Amino acid sequence: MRRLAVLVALVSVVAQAQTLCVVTGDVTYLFPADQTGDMAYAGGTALSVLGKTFDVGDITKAYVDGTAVSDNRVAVVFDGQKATVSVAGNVAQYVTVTVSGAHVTIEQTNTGDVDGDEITYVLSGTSTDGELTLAGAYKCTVQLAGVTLTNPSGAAINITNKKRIQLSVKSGTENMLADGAGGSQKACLYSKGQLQLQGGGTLTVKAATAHAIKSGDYITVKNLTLNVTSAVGDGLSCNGYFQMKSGTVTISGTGDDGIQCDLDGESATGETDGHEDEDSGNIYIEDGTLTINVTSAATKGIKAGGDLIISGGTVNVTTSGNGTYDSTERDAKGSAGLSADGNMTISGGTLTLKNTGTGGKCIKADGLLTIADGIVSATNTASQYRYSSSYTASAKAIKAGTRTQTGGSGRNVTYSYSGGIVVTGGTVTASASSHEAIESKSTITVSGGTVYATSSDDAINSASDFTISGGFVMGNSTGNDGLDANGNCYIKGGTVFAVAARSPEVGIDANTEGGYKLYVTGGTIVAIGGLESGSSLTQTCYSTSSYSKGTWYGLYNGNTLALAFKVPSNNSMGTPLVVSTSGTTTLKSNITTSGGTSIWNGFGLTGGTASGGTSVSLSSYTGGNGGGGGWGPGGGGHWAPPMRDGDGGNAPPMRDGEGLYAPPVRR
Amino acid sequence: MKKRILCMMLAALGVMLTVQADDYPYLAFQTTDGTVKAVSVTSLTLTFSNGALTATNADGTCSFALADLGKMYFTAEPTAVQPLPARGDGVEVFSVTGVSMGHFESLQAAEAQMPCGIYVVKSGSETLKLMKR
Repeated sequence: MRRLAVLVALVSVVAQAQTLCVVTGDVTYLFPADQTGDMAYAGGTALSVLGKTFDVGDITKAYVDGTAVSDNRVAVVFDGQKATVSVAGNVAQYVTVTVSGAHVTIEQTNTGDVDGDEITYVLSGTSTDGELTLAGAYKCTVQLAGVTLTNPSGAAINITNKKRIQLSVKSGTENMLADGAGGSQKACLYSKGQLQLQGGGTLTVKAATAHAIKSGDYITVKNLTLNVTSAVGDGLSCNGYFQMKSGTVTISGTGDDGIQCDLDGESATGETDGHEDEDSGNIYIEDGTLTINVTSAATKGIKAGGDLIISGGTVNVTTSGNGTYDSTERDAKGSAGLSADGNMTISGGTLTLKNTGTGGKCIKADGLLTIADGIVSATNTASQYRYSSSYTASAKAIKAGTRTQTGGSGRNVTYSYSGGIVVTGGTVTASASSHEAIESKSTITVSGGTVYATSSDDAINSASDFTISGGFVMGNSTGNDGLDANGNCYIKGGTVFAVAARSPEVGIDANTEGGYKLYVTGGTIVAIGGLESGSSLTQTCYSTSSYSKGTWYGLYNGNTLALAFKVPSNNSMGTPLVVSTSGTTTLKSNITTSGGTSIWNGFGLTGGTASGGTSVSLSSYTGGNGGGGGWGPGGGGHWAPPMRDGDGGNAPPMRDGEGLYAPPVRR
Repeated sequence: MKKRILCMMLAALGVMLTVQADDYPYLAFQTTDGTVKAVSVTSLTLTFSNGALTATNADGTCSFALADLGKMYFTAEPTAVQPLPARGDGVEVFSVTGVSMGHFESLQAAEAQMPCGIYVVKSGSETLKLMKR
């Protein structure tokens, strides 16, 4: 064993190759002896080594030792008020370094790989007055290997290179970047080119002038732990697209949005496959843990100028900034946890979104919101932001779609609709204290998944048609309709539990007064407060005028338990309780449930069994608890409800006076 | 077990020898007249001052006028080669197997025209073994 140790030591000694170290001020160029070849002198003033020409007058000294050299590597070590730089010989000719105190400027001139690889700049050490400015025209890597760097007069890292930059945070290292206030820098960490944030270490960024991290092109995040603890502007800001593949990102203390992505050019390239040449303004969250807490007025947790696509990961966004009046756009604006100027697609992940700022929203998509999978929890405890009677912003949990006035005026006004909400899977829980929990400015279509919405306003509202053909949908309103369509409402399938607050509100509402109708052609339905008058009930419905709060009921289709549900204990709930299944419908109260999966915040059970209970006497129900009106056939149910405000034939279809539109005509 | 350790040692020795083949314990300086002087790189420091390069190591110090320096290179050869004396009849170059490679006016002319390799150079009554890198 002793011989082996001696041998290993011998190998170590022999393996220590020679390196010529050429020192010019604070920069040392490291030339491995086996790479140098002939080192030419010229004119008594110049020495050229591996293509790097030195003026011998600039050489502080040169020496030969056993320094190990990693090809393509440039190491920058910050040490208080100074910095030293070492440059691997094989890239020396492509790197010009200027050091002033701890302010390091590097210009890189290669236009292709060097010896099959790009140049890597490795930063370490500490300085309270230092920076790295990096210029060039070819991709490179900046590795943070335990650096704590503050630049009181500019960006801590300023990369003017327009090419792809890998910013790699070395595994096991803690790194911190900070800048000073009142500067002209765009960010504490700025990259003009594409910025790939990666590595297994931790990076903390504090920005006192503008954004924490800004790229003039796209940003991708992979593996690293990134903490933005303060910023005057956004936490992360980029153009083109943003992609989070994995890692842990925590953003707080920002003056503006958590993450913002805009178009780089005037218009989208239309390229998204593989993200090659993509300029979309899209944000992609694929995996990892993203936690954002924004507190400033009308700020967004995640703001996509294009689409927002979430396919995995854990996303926690809290917004608490109040609404504000945007004098540029002449509109009232609120905060939003997730915001997309285009479409929003959620196909995976666990999303927890909370808003407490007036006029804020947990989710806001101008285009189509599609939820295909994942778990979405959106809680909004805020009230309306009111700048004036004409400029307000409502605090909703989920809002999507756009309604645009196309003509007319008064009750003859006409609209076009775009976007909307489509749910095909996943679990959605939405809660709003003051306004609709879920609102579409266009259509809502549910064909799968589980949706639970509760609000003091309509639990779920669509400006246009509302269609349910599958899934489990519960709208629990403590002050208005359970489900409300300002167009037609189609119940074709699925399982629906709708709870209205009191007459004249109804469990399931359609805009009868506007010439629309509720169509029930299938599904398993429970509607507390009944159905809109004038409904077309192709599937037989039944009702009972009495029910008990907090009691479990079993709704049967023949002998099969179609749904076990618990009646909420809301202060006020409408009557009757209407039920319907696709077959022979019976109802039992006070059942005992076991097994299965709890849904709708505990108000429903699927896949379980029920035992015991007492049969409830049901009456045939032909619909008609809503106000009816000039367009429809009017009421006809068991109850003769009073007319609601604005429910008459002259009632305009317009509602929800957010923004420039008129204030709500009715609730 | 001992056999296995011995095999490992031999394998490691092979690695060692391979690494050693890339070892360059000398830095050679060649002046424009072809003079070559090699110095040990152990504790070697080079300084540039007043038009001169000064090389300092454990063996001592030597200086070169920068204006006279043509190049320097790392070498495994410790030999300091002096220029062949000027001869009116030039030099003759042979391969290491003794085949004549040609007759040249000077050593510099031979160096310029010969490919890299090891040669035997004869000038008058003097013969030297040289390597072109």
